[in-house]
Amino acid sequence: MPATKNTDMPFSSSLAPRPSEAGEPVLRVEGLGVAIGPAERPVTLVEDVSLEIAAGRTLCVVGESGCGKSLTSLAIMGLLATPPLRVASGRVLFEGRDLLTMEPRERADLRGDRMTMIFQEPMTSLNPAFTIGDQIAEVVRRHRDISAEAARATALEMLRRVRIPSPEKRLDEYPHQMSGGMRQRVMIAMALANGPRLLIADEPTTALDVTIQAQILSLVRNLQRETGTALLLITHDLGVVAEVADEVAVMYAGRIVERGPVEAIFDDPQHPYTIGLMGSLPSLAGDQERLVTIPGSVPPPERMPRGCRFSPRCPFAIAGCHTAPPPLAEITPGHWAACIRAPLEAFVGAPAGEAA
Amino acid sequence: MSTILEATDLTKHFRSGGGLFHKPTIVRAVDGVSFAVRTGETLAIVGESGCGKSTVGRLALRLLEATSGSVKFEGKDLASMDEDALRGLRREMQMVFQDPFSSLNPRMTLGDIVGEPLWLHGMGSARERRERTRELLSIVGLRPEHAQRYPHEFSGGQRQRIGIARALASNPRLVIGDEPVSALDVSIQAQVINLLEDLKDRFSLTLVIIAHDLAVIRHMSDRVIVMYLGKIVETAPTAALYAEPLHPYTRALLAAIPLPAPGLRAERKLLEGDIPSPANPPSGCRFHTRCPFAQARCREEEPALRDAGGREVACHFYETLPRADAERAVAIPESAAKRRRMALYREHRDRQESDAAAAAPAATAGRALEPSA
Repeated sequence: MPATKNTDMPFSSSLAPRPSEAGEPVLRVEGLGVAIGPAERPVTLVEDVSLEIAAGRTLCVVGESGCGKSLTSLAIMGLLATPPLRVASGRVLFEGRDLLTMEPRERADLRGDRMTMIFQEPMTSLNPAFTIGDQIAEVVRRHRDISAEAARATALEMLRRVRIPSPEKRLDEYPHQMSGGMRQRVMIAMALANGPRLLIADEPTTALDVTIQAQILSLVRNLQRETGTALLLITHDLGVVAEVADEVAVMYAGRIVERGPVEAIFDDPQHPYTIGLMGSLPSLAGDQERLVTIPGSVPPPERMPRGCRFSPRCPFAIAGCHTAPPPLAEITPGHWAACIRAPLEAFVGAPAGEAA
Repeated sequence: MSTILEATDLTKHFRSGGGLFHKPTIVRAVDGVSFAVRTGETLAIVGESGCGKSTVGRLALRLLEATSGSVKFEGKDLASMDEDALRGLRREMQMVFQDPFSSLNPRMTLGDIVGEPLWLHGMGSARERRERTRELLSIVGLRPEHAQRYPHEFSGGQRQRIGIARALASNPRLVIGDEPVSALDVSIQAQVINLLEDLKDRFSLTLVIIAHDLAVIRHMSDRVIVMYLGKIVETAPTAALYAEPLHPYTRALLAAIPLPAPGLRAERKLLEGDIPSPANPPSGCRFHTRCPFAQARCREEEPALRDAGGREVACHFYETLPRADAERAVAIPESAAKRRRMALYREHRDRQESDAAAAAPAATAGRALEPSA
């Protein structure tokens, strides 16, 4: 297990989320940074990421390839490949305790029990040499002092709960005998077997066909409702976000550029990147002439611009955008955006076509 | 409208496995598929994994030999052609592949990759080919001076542009794109979709787009073929298909798409079960194992593709099915704030683009969409 050596990291962010009214959040990340390379010349891959999730809530982290969404989730789970990657700053509070300063053994006890994770490709996450019954039972026995029979009974019960048809038969099958959708159900069964407080799902439906994706999303939602697990879902798909999220964090080039309740993000998008991303989506209504685009592509991490990381591509960029990274500022209550020109109409005026 | 490509009763069976003691399994990837591509249209072929859509694309260019059935390009039967004749014809029809990382030779420069079809088809002198290559690069929004570079120096979106430039090199009239944008990030995907649409207009291309993303297809195509397990289940003009899908599978497919609108979130009727294996497809209608409306006849008798007024459906009962009222509205309600910011973005984006074009006159031959190197 990779051990994190960051014992007393200074808390760098001035913009940590406020504790929710619902009480202590299950997960609270403050100013998390992930870096690679030598200590004297580190390349920052994730910078100053702060987020929190309360019990029973779903936070979606959305962004394109290389935005740092998966690195963030791996850092939270303590699964970063260290070295070369390392947590460079911040705190990760799980039920109030900092995971980064915890003994590796203690952290390993939490993982798979209180906090669990599912990945995009279920085939590579399952061991091809063991039956799925054995694999689910193993997760249970790793953390619970129970007999093999009881663990097997739990595995069977879990297969039932993720609605796998003929679970008694499936218990003794191997991963290769199942379809992609069924394997992802097995992964979910495994992840929920110990009744975790936090489930991290990294692109759980990306490898699946759309009709199977709909089944899995609905399953996850229903199970979450029953168990009150906090869900951190990583995705690139704004459709999936709209479907499951309570809160959303939009990431670009290693930073959170916008954060807020799901309705606010979709109905009142503030950051130019979020707006461009939504304009890039083809619509099912067929009402667009030409798609809006974001020019260029994400700069490589070692050549990140000094100011706002989106500024080289941003149609609204002004001189001030290129000098310093914009702070994540609260635009409306609970809705934050890292853009010095948000809300746009206050800075650039109304669109030309609009009658006052 | 004339027909540029016609496929009749195309069938492709793959043998898989088998050996001394095992009988090989026959995978019926494509099973009796007929369709026509009209000159100048964009035709989409859509379906989930294993429906045979990619195989159809490859059969249409005879990159794979069909088990039976025929493909005619402007009336000429591809199967009866010898290699020379086929190579000549391939100038007219080209393919763009899904994965820009594995479909470009990493040891060749951009210039060689894009210029190779010209050389293969013996088009022009070496100098003319070089000129043409540079022109092609600028047409797809890359810089002509990049001709000396190698694919690994470019991002996914730029590589897909390279693949498109290569496909265009021989002045084809038909381009088949096999998931041409599905490996790309949303923002890059939009750039490439716009590029393909520009090129289609500019060079009067006929496009066949093979894809699984129904929103991309809605945006790009004029007509849609929906496939399920090696069969066509529905074909219709795009607007009609999305307004009222007739086949239960098409309905389920459209209902399953998560819409980027949290306000439209609702518990929906979902398809049960998995996609069956094409090695062992269900009897009768192949969709009957998952169809919410299946009856006894569906298990026994395979439905033929039949006329449904300007479109075709392969369902015994589509006329009597309950109206598609369970279907969701696909138009996304837009808040005033979002509409206004979208308009602002569009405005400033246009300004940004014309500024970039003014600053870099060298790149004006194509649309300078990706100015960064």
